[in-house]
Amino acid sequence: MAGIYSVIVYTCFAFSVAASSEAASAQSSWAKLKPQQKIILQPLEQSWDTFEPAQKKKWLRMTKHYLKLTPEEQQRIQSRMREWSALTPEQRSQARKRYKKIEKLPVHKQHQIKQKLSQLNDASQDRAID
Amino acid sequence: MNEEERVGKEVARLLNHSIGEINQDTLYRLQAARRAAMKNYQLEEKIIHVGAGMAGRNGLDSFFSHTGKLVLPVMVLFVLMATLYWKISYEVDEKAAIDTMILADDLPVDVYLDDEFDIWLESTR
Repeated sequence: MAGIYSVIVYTCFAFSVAASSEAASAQSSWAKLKPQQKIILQPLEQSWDTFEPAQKKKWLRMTKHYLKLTPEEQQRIQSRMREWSALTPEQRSQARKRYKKIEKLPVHKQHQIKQKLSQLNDASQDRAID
Repeated sequence: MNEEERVGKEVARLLNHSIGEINQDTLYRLQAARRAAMKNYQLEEKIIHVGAGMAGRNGLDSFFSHTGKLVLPVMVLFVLMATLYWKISYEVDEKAAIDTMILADDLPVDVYLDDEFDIWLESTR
């Protein structure tokens, strides 16, 4: 019986340590970030300390995904970080929902849509330049 | 000196007086009774000692038996906390994964913010 209690106590303890360490890292200032995190999140350096803990936590998680991408994709992410963080939470949420809508489609359909969207975007940019 | 003390002292005097007159058989039986008493006394002491050792374990069991009543609510609370933590963590993870894909995508972010996006997407189906 005591063994079960010990397992519960140790699990609670481990869970608390994991939760508190992550909570602490999500509240950390720019100065306290790891060197690798600073390199990845460099475009956000100026605004980092103004971010909410949840936002920091999300960006820190993104650094893990970032490392798995190609250099080209990594560069793209860094060039869009500021733009993305400047959006309102509602805009970001809307963008995510729309992205997920496309992702749910079959792969060939996704390519078609993305191609069309790209063409439309290029056309609107050209109009804006003119 | 009251009557009780007086009788006690008289009994003690008589016992002391007749101690030399105790016959060997009685003396032997008294010694055997003493040994048995001492043996029992030591045994009792051991039991107390072992009992104390057990009390350590029993104390822990007792602690858990007392806390036993609290275990269910504590476990429920723990499960709720873990579920909440997991849910928040999952949501953050999901957001991070989608944000990474949006930002790494060929398409610019603006595309996903266009007001006519949903209508346009429906029309392409």
